[in-house]
Amino acid sequence: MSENSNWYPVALSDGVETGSSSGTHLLGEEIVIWRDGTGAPHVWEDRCPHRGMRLSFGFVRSDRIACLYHGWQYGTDGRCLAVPAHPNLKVPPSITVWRHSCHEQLGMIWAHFREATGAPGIPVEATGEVLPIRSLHIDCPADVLAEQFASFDIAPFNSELADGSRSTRRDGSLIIVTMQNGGLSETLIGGVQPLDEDHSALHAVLAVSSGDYRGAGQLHFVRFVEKLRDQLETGGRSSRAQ
Amino acid sequence: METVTFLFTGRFETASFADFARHRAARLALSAEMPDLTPSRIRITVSGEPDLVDAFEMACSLGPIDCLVADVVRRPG
Repeated sequence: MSENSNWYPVALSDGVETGSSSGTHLLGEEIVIWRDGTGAPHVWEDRCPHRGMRLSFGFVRSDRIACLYHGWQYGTDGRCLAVPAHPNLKVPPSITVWRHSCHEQLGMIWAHFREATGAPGIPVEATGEVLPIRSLHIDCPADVLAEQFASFDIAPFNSELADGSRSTRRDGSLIIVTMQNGGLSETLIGGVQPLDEDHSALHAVLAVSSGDYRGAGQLHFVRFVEKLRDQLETGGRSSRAQ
Repeated sequence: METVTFLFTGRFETASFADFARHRAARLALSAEMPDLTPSRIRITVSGEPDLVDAFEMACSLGPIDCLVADVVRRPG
């Protein structure tokens, strides 16, 4: 089994700023992704133990995330550290938010529902600089998204132009498409996040050997993934993105 | 440390309310005993930090979605 089997990308790295939080779903569970003041990411159950309010609606101050509802504050270990309405209360350790294993690499934030002993594997094709493309939600199951992403046709990854040098493989939640041409190797990676049985999210990055893809090049792939989403959501699954 | 007995009256799915109350008590580091569980009244005795006993009362005054708490009476011990 791949070491990526139980790791799922849940956001692009540049999609969650330091000192901010964001809510999403993974396998039907609500999760909050937040970055503390040092920039370290955390992935937790999106529920304040006090009243069940989503912590993703809260706010981050330094190394704590606070619930928007009554301001209960939680440290990076998930424990409640302060209850503003009871400033003298010694908060018991039982008031703790459920944490998931979290890792950041390949331009993505990853989550693992069980306690992970390692980190998600980095594909050997992902050499060079990693450029973010975009994240987007798609109303289709994760397997359908992965299948369609793997079979896309978009310049310069067109199979007919790459002179047979295009390769595609799946590694856990990643779809890795590599094009080799003229001594250059470029890799488009799609991280597939199963939101629930019927909905998914795509986190796309480029691993490139030159900076030629910055700016307009990234926009080119942004348009591709948006078109892919449109095709999947409107049922045009037999056509190819251009 | 404070010990308080709450008498909740209203309409209850007793198993649902008991699970809810036990979960809340555990979260708030309170000990809880439920000697009286009926569809119309539930008696719970909890012990722990006074502020957290108050938090328990507030949480249980809402209760789970399939229960309706009409009134809460609180007495020491």
